[in-house]
Amino acid sequence: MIVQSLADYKIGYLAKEADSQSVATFFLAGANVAFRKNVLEEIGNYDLECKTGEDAEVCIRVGKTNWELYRNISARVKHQDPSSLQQLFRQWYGYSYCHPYIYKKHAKNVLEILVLDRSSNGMKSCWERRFPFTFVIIRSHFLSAHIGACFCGLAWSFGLGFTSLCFAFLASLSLARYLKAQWETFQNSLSAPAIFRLKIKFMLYGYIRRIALLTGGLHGSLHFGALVLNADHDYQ
Amino acid sequence: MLLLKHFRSDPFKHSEVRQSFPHLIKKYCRCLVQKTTLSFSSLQPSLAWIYRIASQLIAWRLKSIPSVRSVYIIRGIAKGEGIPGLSDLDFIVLVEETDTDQIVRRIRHCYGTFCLFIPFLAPVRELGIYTLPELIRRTRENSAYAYRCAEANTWKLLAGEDLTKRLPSRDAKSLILPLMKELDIWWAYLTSSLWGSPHSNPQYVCNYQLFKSIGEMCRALCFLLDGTLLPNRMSAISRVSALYSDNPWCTSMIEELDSLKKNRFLKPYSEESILQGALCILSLIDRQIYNLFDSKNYSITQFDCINSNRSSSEIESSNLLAGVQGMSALSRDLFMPGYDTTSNFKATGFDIVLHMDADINMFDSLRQVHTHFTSQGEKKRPYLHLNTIALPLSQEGCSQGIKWQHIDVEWFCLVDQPDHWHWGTRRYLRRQNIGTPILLRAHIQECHSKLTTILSQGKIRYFSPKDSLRFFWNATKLFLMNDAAFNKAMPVSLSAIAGALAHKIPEHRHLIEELHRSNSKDDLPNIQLLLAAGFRLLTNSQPPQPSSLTISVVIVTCDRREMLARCLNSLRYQSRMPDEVLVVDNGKKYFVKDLVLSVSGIPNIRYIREPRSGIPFARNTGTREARCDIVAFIDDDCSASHEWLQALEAPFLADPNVGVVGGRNISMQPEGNDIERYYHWLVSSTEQPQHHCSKEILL
Repeated sequence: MIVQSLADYKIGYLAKEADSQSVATFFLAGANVAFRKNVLEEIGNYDLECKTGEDAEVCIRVGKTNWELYRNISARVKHQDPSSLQQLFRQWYGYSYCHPYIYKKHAKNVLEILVLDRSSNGMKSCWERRFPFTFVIIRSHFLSAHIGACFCGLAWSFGLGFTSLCFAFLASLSLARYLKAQWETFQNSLSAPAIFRLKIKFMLYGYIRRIALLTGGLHGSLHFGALVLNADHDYQ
Repeated sequence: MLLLKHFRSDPFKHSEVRQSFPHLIKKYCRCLVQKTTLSFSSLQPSLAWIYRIASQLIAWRLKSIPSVRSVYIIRGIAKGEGIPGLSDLDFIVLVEETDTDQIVRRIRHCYGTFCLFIPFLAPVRELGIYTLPELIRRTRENSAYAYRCAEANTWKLLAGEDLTKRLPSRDAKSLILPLMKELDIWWAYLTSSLWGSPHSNPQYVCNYQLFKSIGEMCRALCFLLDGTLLPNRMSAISRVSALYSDNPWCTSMIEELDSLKKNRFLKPYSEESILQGALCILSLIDRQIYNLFDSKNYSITQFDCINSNRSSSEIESSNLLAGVQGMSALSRDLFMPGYDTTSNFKATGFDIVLHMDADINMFDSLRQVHTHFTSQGEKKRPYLHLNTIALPLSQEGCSQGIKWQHIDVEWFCLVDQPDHWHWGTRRYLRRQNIGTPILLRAHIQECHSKLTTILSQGKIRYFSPKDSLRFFWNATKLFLMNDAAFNKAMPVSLSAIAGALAHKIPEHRHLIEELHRSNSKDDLPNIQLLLAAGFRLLTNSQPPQPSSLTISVVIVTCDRREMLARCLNSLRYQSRMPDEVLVVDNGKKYFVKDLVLSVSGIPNIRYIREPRSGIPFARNTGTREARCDIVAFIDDDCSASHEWLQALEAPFLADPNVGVVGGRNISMQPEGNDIERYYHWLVSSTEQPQHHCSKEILL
């Protein structure tokens, strides 16, 4: 995701040819990747500041050179998943913790609000402004619902009854849409006799995953001085 | 009605097995696809365990029928000594009801087709019999009850005995759940033993006969879980028939299912429903096979052929399914694992490969196949592959049949396939009073002589050394399957194999010499290594050329010993071996130096300790220490597939501009943990494009 938004700066770099086996890409997970050794030496190896997301960072730097990145989907690796809630939280927290650093390193002084549209598989719009610090919000229904709820509470505390009601209305709309979409996804992805309890659990885990992303992003922003709010991190 | 009422309240409602059963099936399919050599003796312990547990479960089910007072089981089965088969699960059930016929019928309906159920039922209230000794005494006294009587000491009480009070259902559940867990564990053990070590075995064998034999077991599990597996029977039926609607092999099955569907008042847990549950499982497995064919959009066409093994009436009654039963014709570069010839079929340069059992008299079928393929487009050259294990005599008829076809079959290969050994053949051989190993040996001799005669007659235009190697390899598999005495009479002796292999694989020459010297199969790891090397040699369509690029694999590990072992194990069986493996230990507590140094089968493995904690540090250390052109990274919690390195190397070789190549990460099969299952769902839903639209709103 993060790389996707950055890769937009280099137009013409993406999608060399539509081949199902191997495609030019812009992010390769660090668990399953091979470099030419001279490429790594050229770009100066992994960034030691990046405790997590070092693979994404390296891919960005490779993308700025003339080397190409390829994904060959027949190079398969089975990955062990987190098996407890704590591990799940820690993993997604870690994913988003270093995002502010990467954004700050590669996109300086940018106010960026990305509106994603997944059906067209890319970005719909992107506003770029000069801004004193890096501020990136990736909009999602999850995020907008919760930010709406925050503003609602804020307005209520200032005594703005009507404004808070408006915010609450917007938040509830977003939340309803989000929940409905979740529900539809479950309906689509799980087979008919799938258990109701499992669905609820999956929703809960999705919620925890997003909370972990947000808290990780906030903590990282305190540490690195750039705010990146992202409740929409694809699993790679 | 009591029985039905009981079964509606499902005792396995919350069991873990039920929830993870599809995953078990997936596992099972995977292991079937990936297993190479299999002897039933190696499976015996785990199968026996599964049967033991299964018997206990059945006993518990019987016990929980309200009218059943106690359940007895044969002592040997209870210990797990039984041989897996149809007649293993024998029970004595004491029933409280007077209407014994009815309950016998009901229980027979539930379990009768599965196990040879001995209806040893006694109406206890009427007679005042409460235990087995009493029963036996009574039956001896009164010949009116002409039940089959067994000795009391061969039977063991499984459930019941205390007949005044019944076990509360919660207790039964608490007893059943651990059993189910145990079953799960042993099932996993069985699959792993089928599969060799998990995630490691690269060799693909898809053996239909193995399906059938283990399908029995699957069916047994289906019985245990019947109803629990398929809550909505009707939808399951329609789903299965929808799956098979385009499969010409399965027309009869579809008809059967349709008839089931029409019968809307299907009694729950009738024989049909059980059959259909079993069918569902088998169809899932079949689907896996079919997917192999279907994955490249090849059409599968059915041809009639006559199996000489069957009587004429049988032929009239049943239209043989060609693909499953005996013959299949595959178009070019259709990947079908399991037939050795197919994997390097591309190298032969022919267009069609025909797989055929040797006991099939193919009067017109080959002609049909040939015209079918040639009518579609340009002229194609057929290639015939015969499975000659079953009946040596009918090979004559088969080769005669080829002559009658008036087709210039250019390439003709007789390959012995020990994996195609199945119970039907064995039974046939027993009927013919021919011992198994003798016939096998004779068969190999025959094959060998045939091969030599074919070679000497010059019928074969092209017979590469690779094919002879394949032949030797199969013989080696046979050697591993059977005892050492087999070696003496085998015309293709181990030394010959070793010689052949030594010719091909210079880097393993010392191993072969050692093997040749010891001449025993005690040295299994070396043999396995040798076989892996031979297999690599066979599966590569091109002989392994020294590539211009060298690869070093860097594994960053951090206090995860078991996972690292699994990862290293997966690296042992790469189709393109790494030139160098570096294990960078970034752990704080447990160091893995001993583990790394004890690994065999990986060239140039090195252990490096990186004290600074953090993945970038470890990765940079690995990069610095690597001596090769390409540095491939893999995490310690991953296990690589067989062709991983080869696939990573390919873009580098193809394009000098490529600097970085990545692959695809798949989440492992969830083991019943909900979070893992969630992850699996997450990954699979991001992979599948059809969920994209709904996910769009989700974000």
